[in-house]
Amino acid sequence: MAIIISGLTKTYRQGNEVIEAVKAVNMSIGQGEFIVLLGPSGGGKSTFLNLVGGIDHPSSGSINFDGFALEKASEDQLTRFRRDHIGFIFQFYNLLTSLNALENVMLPMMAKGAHYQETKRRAEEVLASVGLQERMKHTPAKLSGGEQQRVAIARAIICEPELVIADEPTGDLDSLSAQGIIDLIHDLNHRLKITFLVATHNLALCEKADRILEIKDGIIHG
Amino acid sequence: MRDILWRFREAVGFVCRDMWSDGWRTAITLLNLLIFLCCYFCLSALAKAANEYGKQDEQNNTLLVMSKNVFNPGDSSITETDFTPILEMEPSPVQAVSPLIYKLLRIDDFLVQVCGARTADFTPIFELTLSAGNWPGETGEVAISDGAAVLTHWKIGQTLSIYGKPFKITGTVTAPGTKTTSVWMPQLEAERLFNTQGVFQFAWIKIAPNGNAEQVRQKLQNDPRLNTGYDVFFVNALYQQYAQALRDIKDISLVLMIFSLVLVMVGTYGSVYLTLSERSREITILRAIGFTSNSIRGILVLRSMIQIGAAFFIAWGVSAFLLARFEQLSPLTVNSLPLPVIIDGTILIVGLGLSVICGCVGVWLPTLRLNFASVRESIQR
Repeated sequence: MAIIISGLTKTYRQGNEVIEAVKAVNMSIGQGEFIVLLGPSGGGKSTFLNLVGGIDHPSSGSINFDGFALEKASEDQLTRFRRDHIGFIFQFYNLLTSLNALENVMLPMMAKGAHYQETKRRAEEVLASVGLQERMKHTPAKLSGGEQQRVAIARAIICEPELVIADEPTGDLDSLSAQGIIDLIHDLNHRLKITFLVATHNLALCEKADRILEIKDGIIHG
Repeated sequence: MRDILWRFREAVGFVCRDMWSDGWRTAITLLNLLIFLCCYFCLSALAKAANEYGKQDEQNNTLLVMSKNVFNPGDSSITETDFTPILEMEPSPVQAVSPLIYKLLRIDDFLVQVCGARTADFTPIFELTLSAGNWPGETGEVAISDGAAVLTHWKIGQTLSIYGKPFKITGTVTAPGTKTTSVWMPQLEAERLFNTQGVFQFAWIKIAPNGNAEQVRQKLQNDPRLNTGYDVFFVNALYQQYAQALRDIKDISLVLMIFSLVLVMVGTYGSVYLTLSERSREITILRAIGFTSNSIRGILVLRSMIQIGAAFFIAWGVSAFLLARFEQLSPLTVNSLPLPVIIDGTILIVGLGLSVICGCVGVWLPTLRLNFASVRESIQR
């Protein structure tokens, strides 16, 4: 897998002001890399992740993901691309509260139209791999913050994506839970060779990273 | 195929669990739909009954003569001496004329037309056909119309009290216009009952096959012996007056019925719009992890269809029960025309189809914006 980013720029208009959230980023991301993106709030971390993850369209520049040009794709094409190649982990877990852990993890494969029994078996396997085999039938309300984030991680990796994007995955956790999540992410990166692109303020994640990037005022320094 | 069924089953399970977890909203939506669909069932059954009983057969070969300016036909008064201009036109273009005694009475709490005529004229002039039982004899016997049988549930052999005297029902008759609730007896029996020897309400004129009914009508209307005190018109006109109210009911019911289905669409629209607004976070998560806007729309359509389906069949049960109860307690009549209001298969199938279509439109409209809102915009919201 290779992601080539060329001249990536994203601007927003706020009233009469034009804000450059991401400015002419050029970089590449290889298979199995663990990349940490550091930076202050408002520096452009989330915007950059949204662009690479196909959630947002760039104002200019290109993102080539194994030959697929994200900047030219429609919303539905991006949705299908995300479903097949990218996993997401959000700061506030973003689980569906009416579904239990197993059902939340099954969602991406159900979106792909996979066979139900296979989806269930795979979801159980993935939940077991993140240490939640005893908590599969619990709804998010009955899970701790750390457990919910593990469910979110399981959901992100069930379709075996090439890239997992994590926006402040430990931002809402206590230090013990956060360490558990960091170790889990590191383990998945090493074991499954999934590429991780993680935006964070947590310096403990930097110790596990292959590459640390800093973003400030939309400019990335490697 | 099996996989498709599995997926459908899981989708239904997912939607049902979701509706259960959002119990109050689901209950309120169901209640709204139930009310609209009950209105649909009742109005369409009413329209159908009004349409069927509002149709009167063409009877262009029969005229009647009655007193001018009477609101109630039972107040008309004509004697056999007034028949002279009519008899002069026999055997052509007038084939035959027969007097008719007519009273509008309440029998067993039903408003009924009581008709007395010569039994020999029942078929050739009044075009009555015996559909069951026998013709009434000269004393203490009557035949009832099909319309009366439907409305009142009177049976052959049953005894009615008319003007305080007992009359046994010997048969049921069919004829143009006898969807009205009418009772037929021999003329002599009617004269004895109402004490009206030689005075009738109508002269009933049968036109010969080669006769021009309109010409006869105009000639009689212009005859100085009739034109000062009587009107001559087609029998149709009298029936049309009675049936007009039913046609009006049919038209109004149809409009309201369509309106109730539009409200199903509006109700669905409101429910889906609220869902999209209040659960935008969940929908954004689904889009972020790979559900396309069409998939999400499909989930919402499935949810609405389950709600509409449940409300539809509950509404059917409730409406059928209410209509049956109403029919039992107080059967509906309009100008003595019975109106049995029942829900049949056509109403069910048409209603289900239209409800599904209205529901789909109600889901499609608010979900259009999914096609245009990007995931990033949804996240920011």
